[in-house]
Amino acid sequence: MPSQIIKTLRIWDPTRSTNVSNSFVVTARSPSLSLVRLPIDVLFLIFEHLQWPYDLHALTLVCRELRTLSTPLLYRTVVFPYARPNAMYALLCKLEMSPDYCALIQTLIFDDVAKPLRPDIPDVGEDFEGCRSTRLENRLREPIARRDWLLDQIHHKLYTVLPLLNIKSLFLKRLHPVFLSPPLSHRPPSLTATKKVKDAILNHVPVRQWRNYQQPPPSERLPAAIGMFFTHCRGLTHLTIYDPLSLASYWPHSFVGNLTVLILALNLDHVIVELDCGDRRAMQLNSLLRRAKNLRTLGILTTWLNLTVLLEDCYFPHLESIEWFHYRAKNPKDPQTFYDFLRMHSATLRHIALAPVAYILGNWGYMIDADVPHWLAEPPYDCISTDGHREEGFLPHLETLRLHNWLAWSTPQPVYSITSADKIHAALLISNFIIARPSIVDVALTDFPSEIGRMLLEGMHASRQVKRAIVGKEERLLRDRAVPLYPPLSALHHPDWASGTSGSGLSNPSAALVELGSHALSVLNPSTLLNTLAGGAGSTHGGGETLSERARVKAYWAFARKREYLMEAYHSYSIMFDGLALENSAFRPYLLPRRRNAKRDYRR
Amino acid sequence: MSITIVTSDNEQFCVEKLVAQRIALIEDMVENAGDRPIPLPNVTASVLRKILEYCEHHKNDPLPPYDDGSRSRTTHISEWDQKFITVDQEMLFEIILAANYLEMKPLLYVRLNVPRVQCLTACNAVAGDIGCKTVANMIKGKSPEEIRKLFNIVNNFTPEEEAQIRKEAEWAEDR
Repeated sequence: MPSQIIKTLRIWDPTRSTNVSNSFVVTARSPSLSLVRLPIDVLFLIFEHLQWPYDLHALTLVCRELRTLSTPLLYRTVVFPYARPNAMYALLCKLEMSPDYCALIQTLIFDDVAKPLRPDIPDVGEDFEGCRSTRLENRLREPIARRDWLLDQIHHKLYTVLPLLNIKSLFLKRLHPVFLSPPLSHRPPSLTATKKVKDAILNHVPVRQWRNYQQPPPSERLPAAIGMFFTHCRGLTHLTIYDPLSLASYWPHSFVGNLTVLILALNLDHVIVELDCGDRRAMQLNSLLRRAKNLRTLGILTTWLNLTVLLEDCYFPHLESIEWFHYRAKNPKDPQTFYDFLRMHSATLRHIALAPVAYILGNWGYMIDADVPHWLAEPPYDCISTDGHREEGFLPHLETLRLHNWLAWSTPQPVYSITSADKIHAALLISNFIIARPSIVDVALTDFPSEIGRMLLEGMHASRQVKRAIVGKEERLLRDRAVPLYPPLSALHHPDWASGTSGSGLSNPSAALVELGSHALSVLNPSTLLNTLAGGAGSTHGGGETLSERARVKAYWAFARKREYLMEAYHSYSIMFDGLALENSAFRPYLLPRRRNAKRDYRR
Repeated sequence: MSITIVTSDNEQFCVEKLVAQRIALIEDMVENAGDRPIPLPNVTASVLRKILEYCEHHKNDPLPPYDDGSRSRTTHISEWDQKFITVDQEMLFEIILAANYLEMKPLLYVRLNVPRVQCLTACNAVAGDIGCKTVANMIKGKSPEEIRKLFNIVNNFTPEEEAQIRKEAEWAEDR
C-alpha cells in the first residue's frame, strides 16, 4: 500500500485516518459484518485487486465511506476517453487545479476501451438484441469529435498538466489529433469554406512560413505531446504503445534505457501497404530496442515484422518475460533468429507466452538448418563442458510456458502440411521439455493431444507443485465457467439440430463437439432464440412469416459466428496471457476493426 | 508435537505443529507460551476450523515468495481454494478478518515494504489473496446499485452529491 494514499486520506478525512493505526484491532464482534465495517486496511487489500477505473468508479458512488476510500485509488489509473472530449477536458481542468490528484496518478491510458481483456460474451437470452448490433466494434470506431475548438483546449491543457504528473506507466493505444502538433487552431482555414480568406492571407504570409503550418500527411505528423511525455516522465517504466514506428525518431535515448516493460503493437496496415517499408521500420525499431537495456518484459502484438531485423544484436541483460501475440515469420531466417534469441536470454527468462498466428505451420513454414538443435530438445541441466567450464542448462529458471498453436514448433517442414507422426513427435518434444524442467509450474497448451496431455499432467504433478495447468481441450473447457459455451458452427448447420430434433446427429463428425457443448445446446434452444428475435409479431400473415424466417436465420447465424469468434479470441488471448503484462495492457486485439485487406495477410 | 489453541468461545483445538506454523501469530506465540494453550480472543471456533482446514490442505506447499508487487496478481483462484471460499458473505468477511488478525505481522511488513523474504505465509494468502480476491471479484463489473444490494449498504448520498460525483468522474464511467 503506497503511503502516499494513506497520506492523502488523512488530508481528506481526519476522523477516518485515525483508524488507520488502530485498524488492526479487529472489530469482528460487530453484530452484522458488512463490507463497510471491515477495517480500513482489509478494505484496501480488497480494492488493490480492482485496477480498472470503472470498477472503482462504481464504488465511489455506493456510499460516503467507500467513496472516501476508493477515490484515491480511482485516480491511480486515469483514462482519457477520446469519444467524450467533454469528460476529457473536465478531467484535465480538475488535474490542473489540484496537485493532490496529480500526485496520485501512476498510470495514464489514452483510449476509449480501457477494459480488461476478458471478452464480454453475450448471454443467450437477454443480450441477443444487443449483440446483434455491432456495438463492440463501434466503440472502437467511434468518430472522434469534430469540435475543433474543444480539441484545441484539450491540446493546450495537456501541455499544462503533463509536467505536473509523475507517471509510471503509459498506455498510448490510439493516436489522436490532440497529440499531433501544431494545435488545430494553427491550421489554415479549410479551402472550401474560406478560400477568399486563405487567398488574402497567402498574399501577406510568405509561402515558406505558410507551409510550416500545413497539415502534413498522418504518417509524417509530429507527435508533439508524445515528445512531451518523453521529456517530462522520467520515471516511466511501463510503456504500451500502438504503432511506435511513426515516432521512432522522437524517442530520447535515456528514456528508452529506463523502460522495464515495453509492449509494442504494430499497425499491420502500414506494413502491408508499404511492403518495402516493413524492413525499414523494423530497423528503426531495432535501433530503439537495442538501447532498452533494462527491459524485463517484451510484448509484441499483431506484427508482421522481420524478426531477424527487429532482434538483430538485441541483448537485454534482465529480460524475464516474452509475451508475443499474433506474430508470424516474414524472413526465412526468423525461426533461427528466435532460437538464437532464446538461447541468448536463457539464463534470465522466466516467462514465455507465445501465440503465433493460427495458420503458420511447423517451424513457421520455414526450414532451419538440420544441425541446429531444436530449442525444445535442449538439455535442461547443467553440464560440465570439456574445458572444465561449468555451463548452465537451457532455460533453467523458466516458470511459465504457454504455447498457443503449438504445432508451430514441430520439426522443420519443407511442405505446408504436418503428418500425424510429426504432430505426435512435436507434442512429445514439448511434453518432455516441460517434464524435464521442474521449475515450470504454469503451463497452457490448449488443443494438446489428450493422451500426451494426460501424460504431461501426471508427470508435472508428480514432480512439482503446479500453479496453473491448462492442457488439452477438456481442461480448456473447464476454464469456461465464466464464459458460456456455444454450439460449434458445424453443429448448428447440422440438419437434425436445425430442425429441432436430436439424437441421430451423433454419427456426425461433429458429434464430439456437440457432446462437449451439450449443456450449451440445452441453453441455446433455437426455437426460443428465434422467438425472441421475431417477437411473435411478424407471424400473423404468411408473406411476412417467410421473410422474417430468413432474416431470423441470418441473424442467428451472425450471432453464432460472433460468439464463436469471441470464444476463440478468449482462448487464444485471455487464457494464454492471463496475469501477464500483455493482458494488463488491456489490449483487445481481436476487437479491433477488421482490416480491409485481411485476406492478403494469408498470402506468403 | 501438537499445539493447543483456545478460541473466543472457549473451544480447544489440538493442532499439529506443521499446520500451526502456517499461522504467523501462533508461531510467534508458541515461543512464549511453552506448553500452555494459546488464546485467540478474536477468533471463533467456526472460523478457526475453516482456517485450519486451509492450513491443513496447504501444509506442504512451499511458503510463497515475497511479492514486491512488480507483477500484478492474477485473478485466478485454484479449484480447491474456490470451493473453500464458497461460503456466505458473513463467513467470508469473518475469514478475511481472522486471517488478517492472525497474520498481523506479515501484513505490516507488506505495508511498510520491508523486503523480508518468506514473511508471507500461506494463511496470509487467505486474507490477502483468496478472500480479498473473491470480494473484489464480487464487486467487479457491477453498478453502484448492484453493489449496494449485494453488500446491503445504504446509500447515504444526497441526490445533488451523487450527481456531483458522477459529473466529476465522468471519465471513469464505463460506456
